[in-house]
Order: sequence, then C-alpha cells, then structure tokens
Amino acid sequence: MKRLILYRLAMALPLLILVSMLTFVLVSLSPGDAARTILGSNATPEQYAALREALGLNDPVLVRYWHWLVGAFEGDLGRSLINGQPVLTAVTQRLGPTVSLVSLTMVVTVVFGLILGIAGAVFGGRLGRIVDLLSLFGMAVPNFVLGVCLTAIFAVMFRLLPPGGYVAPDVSLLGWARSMILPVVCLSFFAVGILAQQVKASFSDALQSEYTFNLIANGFSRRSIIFKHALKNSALPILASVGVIFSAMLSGTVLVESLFYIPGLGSLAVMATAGSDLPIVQGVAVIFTLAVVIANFLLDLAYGALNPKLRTAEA
Amino acid sequence: MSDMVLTHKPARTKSTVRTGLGLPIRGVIALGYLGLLALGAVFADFIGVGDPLRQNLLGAKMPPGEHFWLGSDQLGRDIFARLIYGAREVMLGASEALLIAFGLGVTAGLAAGYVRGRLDSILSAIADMLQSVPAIAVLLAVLAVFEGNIHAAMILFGVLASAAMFRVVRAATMSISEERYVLAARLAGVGTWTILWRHLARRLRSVLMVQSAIVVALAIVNQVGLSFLGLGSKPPAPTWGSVLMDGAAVLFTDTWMIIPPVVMISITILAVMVVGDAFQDAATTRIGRGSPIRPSVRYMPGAGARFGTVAISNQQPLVEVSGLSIGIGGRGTPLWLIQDVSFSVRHGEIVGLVGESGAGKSVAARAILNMFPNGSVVEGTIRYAGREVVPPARGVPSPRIGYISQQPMAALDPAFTIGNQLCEAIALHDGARRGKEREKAMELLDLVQIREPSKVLELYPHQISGGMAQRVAIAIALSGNPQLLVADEPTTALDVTVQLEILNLLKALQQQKGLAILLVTHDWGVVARMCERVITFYAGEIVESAGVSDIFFDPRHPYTRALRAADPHGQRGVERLPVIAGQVPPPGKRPSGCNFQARCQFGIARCALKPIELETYGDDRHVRCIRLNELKVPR
Ligand code: SF4
Repeated sequence: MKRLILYRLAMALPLLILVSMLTFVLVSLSPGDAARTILGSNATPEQYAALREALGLNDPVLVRYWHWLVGAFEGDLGRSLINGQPVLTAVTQRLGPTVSLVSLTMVVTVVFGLILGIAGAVFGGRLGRIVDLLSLFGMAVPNFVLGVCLTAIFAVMFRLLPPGGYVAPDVSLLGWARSMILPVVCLSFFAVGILAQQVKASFSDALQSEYTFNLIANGFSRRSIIFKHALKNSALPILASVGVIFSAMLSGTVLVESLFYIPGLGSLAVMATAGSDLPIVQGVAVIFTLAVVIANFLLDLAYGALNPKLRTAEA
Repeated sequence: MSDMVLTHKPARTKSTVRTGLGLPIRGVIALGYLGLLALGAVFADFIGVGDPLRQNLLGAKMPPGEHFWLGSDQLGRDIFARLIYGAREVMLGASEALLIAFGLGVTAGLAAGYVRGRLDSILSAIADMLQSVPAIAVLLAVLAVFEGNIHAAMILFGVLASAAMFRVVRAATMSISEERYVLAARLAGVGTWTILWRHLARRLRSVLMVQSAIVVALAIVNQVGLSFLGLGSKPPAPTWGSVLMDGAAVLFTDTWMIIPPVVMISITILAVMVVGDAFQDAATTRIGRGSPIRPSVRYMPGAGARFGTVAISNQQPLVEVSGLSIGIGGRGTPLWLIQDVSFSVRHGEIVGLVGESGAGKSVAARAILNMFPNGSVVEGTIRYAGREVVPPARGVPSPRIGYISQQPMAALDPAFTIGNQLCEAIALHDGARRGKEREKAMELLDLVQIREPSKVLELYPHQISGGMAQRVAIAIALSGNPQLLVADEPTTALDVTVQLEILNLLKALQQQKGLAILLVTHDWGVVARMCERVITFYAGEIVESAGVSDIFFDPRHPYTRALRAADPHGQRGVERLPVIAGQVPPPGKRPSGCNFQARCQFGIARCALKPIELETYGDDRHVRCIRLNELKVPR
C-alpha cells in the first residue's frame, strides 16, 4: 500500500514536469514566437528585438523553463500574451463552471454506469446486449456530435432547454440546472457506456466465481451476493476505469464547453489556442494534469481501503 | 472441477454467419464501407465527386436534391464533395496516429514482455504516465504552437495512445513466453524469436485489431473535434469538423444541414468499432439468456424420462431424487448432462457419488441445492425432508442444505473476513439471534476444530491455509443447522495429511450431529473410508448402486468391475479412480443402447439396440446392464 502511494507520487512529479515543459519545447521547435504574437506583424524589427529580450526569449529553452518553474512554485504561472492577465487569475475565474460540469457528469456517470452495468450482469441476455451497444454508440457518436443533435432537438425544435450559456448556481439554481442538462448528457454519454461495460464485465466475473457459487449454494440472499459480495470484489477494476474516464472527461470539457458557450477552463483553452496564447494553454494543461494526478491518488487510497491483500500486506 | 466445466458452458451459442475471412458478416459490411470511403476519397478527383471549394451564393443552403446530393452550405458549396474530400484528412490523420501508436506500443510491449526486469518497470512507468495525460490539453498546446497543423496533433496523439497498445502486447508476450514450447526453445537456445513471433502473431491478432480500432476511432473523434473547434486545417479546406460547424452555425434556420456530417462521422466511427469488435467476436462466444445468478432454468414434466422412475428405498429417506434428467440447450433437443437419475439418501447416512470426470455426479449433487447450469432443462423431482424442492415451490424459502466445494480457497469471498462471512451466514438463518452471531461463529469454528477461533474470525481468506479454509467452509455450510451436507470433492485440492483431517472431521460431524452427507468423489480411498452406500455414475447415468462392501467385493456392473479390477488395492489409501482404456462418451455423443458398450469387455450386439434399464438386483441394489444375470462370474 505504501509502495503504491510512493509510486504514484514518484510518477506525479515527472508527469507534471513533462506536461509543463511541453509548450516550451514546442515553442523552441516552431518558427513563430510570443513576441510575434503580442506585436502582430506590423511591428518594427527594433520593437521585436526589444520585446524578445524583455520576455527572455533569447535564453535557452531550459533556462526559460526553469524561470517558469520557479515562478510556478510561487503561484505565478505567467501572463496571458493577449491581455496580460495572470494565468492563475484567468484559470481560477473559469474554474467554477468546469467544476460544476465535471462533478455533475461524474455523478451521473457513476450512478447510471453502476445501475446499467449491474443490471446487465445480473439479468444478462438482452439487457447485457444493450449495455454493449450503449458503449459502442458512446464511442461512435462523440460528445460534440451528440451535442449538436441534442441542441437541434431540445433547443431548436422543442425549445425546452437553452441552446447554451451558463448560469451560476448562486444566481439561479433552476437556471443552473437547466443550463447543465444538455452538457452533462453529452459529456456522460460516452462515459456511462464505458463504465457500464466495465461494471458488467467485472460483475459477471464475480458472479461466475467459485465463491459466488458457494454463497448461493449455502443460501445467501441474492441481494447480499450482488450488492455486498460481488460489488466489493469488482470494485477495483471499476475504480481503475473511473480514473481513466475522469481523464477523458476533462478532455471532453474542451469540446462541450465550447459548444454550449460555458465559460470554463476547456473553452478558455480553446480560445487561447486559437489566439496562440501559450501561457494560458499551458496553464490549463497543467491544471488538468494536476486534477488527474490528484484523482488517481484518491483512487489509490480507495484501492488500498478496499483490497484486503494490499491492506494486510502492510501490517 | 470436472463437471464444473459443463456448468459454465454457454447455454446457447449465437450462430453468426461467418465469411471467408473468418469474420461475422457485419464485420465484412463495415470493412466494405470503410474501403469504399477510402477509395472515394483517394480517387475523388476522377470520379466526379464535385469541387468541395466552389462557391455559388445563388445556390446556398439548398437541401439535398438533384443539384447537391447532400445539399449545399451557406456558401453554396457541395456538402457531399466536402465530406468526401474531408475523408482524406480524416484517414491520413488516423493512419498517422495508428502508425505511431502501433510502432511504439508493439515494439515497447514486446521488449518489456520478453526482457522484463528493469526495462519492463521503466516502460510500464512511462505508459502509466502517458495514460494519465489529459490528451486534448496536450493536443491544444501543439495546435497553439503549430497553428492548424492537425498532423502534428495526430502524431502526438499516437504517442499518447501507444500506452494502451503497449499494455496489451506486453501482457500477451508475458503470458506466451511463459508457455512450455517457448521455454523449451529458450532452453535449447535456438530460434526463440521465431517461435515467440509465430505464436504471438496468432495470439495478438485479435487484441491488436481491437486495440487498433479503438486508437483509430479515438483519433477520428479527436481530429474531427479539433477541426469542429476551428483549430484544424484553416478554412476553406474541407474537413468533417468544419462541415459540422457550418451546419451548427445555421442550426436555427436550416437544421437539416447537420444531418449529413453527423451521419457520416458516426457511421464511420461505428464501422471502425464494428470491425474491431468482429475480430474479438471471432475469438469468443456469446452466452444466451440468463446469467450466473439468475440462470434460466425450465422445469419440464416428462421430457427426459426414458423409463418409469425406480423407487429405491422403502424407508422415508431424507433426500429422494426421482427420474432426474438435466440438459442444456435452447428450443431444440437438449444436450442431456444426466438422464433418468434416481437415488435417495437416508437420515445420517454418508452416500458416495462416484464416477469419472464428466460422468454427471456433480450436476446431480448440485441439483439437490436447486442449482443448475444456465439454460437448463430439468425434468424429474427431488424431495428433501418430505418437501418437494425440485421443481421449487413458489414463495417458499428453500430449505437449508450445506454445501462445500472442491476449492476451499476459491470458495471463500476474498474481500471479506472469515468472521464477516460466517456471521452473515448465521444471521441468515438465525434472525432472532441478532447480536449473538459472533458467539455462534466461535462455537461453529470450535465445532470444525479450529484453534483460536477469535483470531481466525479477523483473518481474510488469503491469510489462512487450504485445510483451514475448508474447515471454515464447513462451518459456513453448517451455520443453518442443515440435516444434509453436499460435499463436492471436498479433499481433492488438499495435501494428503490435510485430506485425512478433513475426512475425519466430516465423519465426526456425521456421528455427533447425525448429519447426512452426500459425498461426490472420484477417489476410492475416500469411498472406503467414509461411505455406507455408493452410487456409480457413467456418462450421465447411474450404472450401479450398492452398499460399500458390495461395491468393493462384489461389483456387478462391467464398468464397476473394470474399475475394481484395475485397482485391486483400492482400500489401501487415498487413490484416484483407476484408468480403463477408452473414453467416456460426452453428452450429445452418447450411443444408442448402453453408454458403456465401447469400453465393455462383455458387450454384445444386443447392448446397442435400445437404452438399458436400471434393474433391481438383490436387496437394495441396482445395476444397469442387460447381461446382469448372465455374468454371475465369481470374482
Ligand atoms: S449392457 Fe452390455 S455393454 Fe452395457 S455394460 Fe452391460 S454388457 Fe456391457
């Protein structure tokens, strides 16, 4: 257990360095640079050279990265090239909607993924096939394609839901809920399919095991076998896939937030990319990676709590 | 495990139409679609698809019709042409991603799986790392630097996706390089790579196809998504994402315009997934209705009976199985696992069910617990303690019968402590004694002769030995004070000394508590030590039932005789059923007439004519052989 946690920590550091260094390396490979982005193409060569010097662009990549890294530890992730806003401010301003979206989607995914997956494993047959089909279509209809279709149906044809926009929950709880319905459905569609299939697979394994046979034979109730014994035994693979899904979901916010005009981190990253505003893009990448690292860490703790072999090995 | 194999066979295998490629038909259709799309995209210039860039403001936003197959967009451009030309970029991008992912993943996976050690830990750590990168954030960074260069993004995506490819190749390589032929080649020091490669290629084919399909599908999703956001190739280049974006821009006025790109994108990804899935399907079969915990079982009156049932005992027995036949299969003729089985167990008696693997003895024993393979057809009745349990009465809780299995370690739930499982079992039957479960649990552990029961209660199954696990399993089985214990090869998986301890324990329980035990075994030593009566199974039928001394000293059925003759010292110790030449005919391959005819040294033409009846012989003995009375050869 301790080893697992140490491993995760040892993994997190290089991962964060890798992701944060990426933009620096990419920039050094590319013809354009930040000075050009800021000044546009009409500036004189003198202005350009002066700005390069001021931005430290003449230093080698690693030196520049080092400066950034030192700053990052003090909470300074650089400034936007477009409006000079500190990256950290820009990111924290946009955190709320993304947290709303991701946490709601996560809840929906886990609830429906578990229900469908367990039902598929317990009842088998047609219901099991539906779970397989759902995960197939979750893949085939990407969130933005689904989003466009659902907007056409629910916002354009029936005018039931807003086509986009975000209402903060402290402004109007109902407005917030209405603004979240379509984005959450789009973002969870794929995830529910994947999770349900994983749940179904691990539940089927658990239900086919020798101990389940023994429990049934000795008269244990079906409810206890499904919701106590099989659930705990299939918890580990399910947790693992929740981790993967969380990471995919963060990626999904980029598209869904842009599509539904939600002012979150994902849409911020898209605007920044379109404007070549590298510090912002990098800031979002780092925040996303950090979120994945933390999520994996929490999942590992849950792993340890659920797996008697890991837990007792420590003692 | 013998009969277990049968119980987990799929009830009904869905017959899929296979084609020359060994693929189901839908896989071929999907491949065909992708091939057509590829050809269309490559030769678009020559087959009159139309110009994806030509604008015609007079013909803007025209719905599908004779001018434009799939309509025209706000600038009057042909949507069909834009989609077909857009497929070029989609395919190119997906190929780039796949090539990189495949190259990196397969190479690294082979290396890690074969070399192992330090290299494996390093590569696995890197894969772990790549898998936790939120892909799109990194792709955005690439596009922010290399504006509109979707190919750079796809190549990076390939790098990230190689991690999953790495995992499947590594796992397959590891499992294969442990197999005997590869180890042998390794020892001989020749051609390891050739052998490894040959076997790997076969094994990996399906996993790699599935994984590749996933990489391609995700590459398409990401690529189209990025161009949908306007971050891909710059306009007016035709891309699927931009066509969808154009449609979304006029969603309120010309809603139809999203349909062509939506269908094109989804169908293409679906086709890719179906191709991958088809390769996977080629390797696995589907299980029909039902599930392990809700098996579909049909109780049929009279379907399997070939004869009237034979009343075996004149006393009131504890268990009475009559005319039991169990088959698996759907609508057609079921595959009979056991046929026309009748026997009884008296109070406090130990009865042995003996037979080779696949003889059906476990299937028969489990039937008493009302446990049947998924998709079973069940005929006949079982009475327990004067009540009918098969077919089960609706709404009445099934009576308590204890069950212990062959694999004590696997039989306990690994995720809960011994105490937890045992207390749950006790609470099930002793609702009134809530709060006192622990006390009763200690008593039960004491009964099965476990020392320091309070300590054992806190342990997990992986912390105890096999013998101890079997004692715990017996304690769980006894928690409801059953009158009958069904023991399915309870000692097969244990060490010899532990076997004797468990057998002694069972015997003691029988004597102390008057417990009846139905003992499934293929071990004559166990029979001699434990049983009062023995029922011999052969190919799904009872061939002989008799008291233990008759079976040992005066076997009547040619099968039992052959077994005894092949093992004259059967009582000496713990020994497996001896081997006689030939094989048991499996269900579905059983001959007409006597099932044993192919191996029987007394067989004559008459034996093959019609099914043989179980005949009563002497006092409380039954033999299934038409030559029973002719073969009174003294031993
Ligand atoms: S019926 Fe015929 S073949 Fe079958 S056991 Fe008897 S003698 Fe042998």
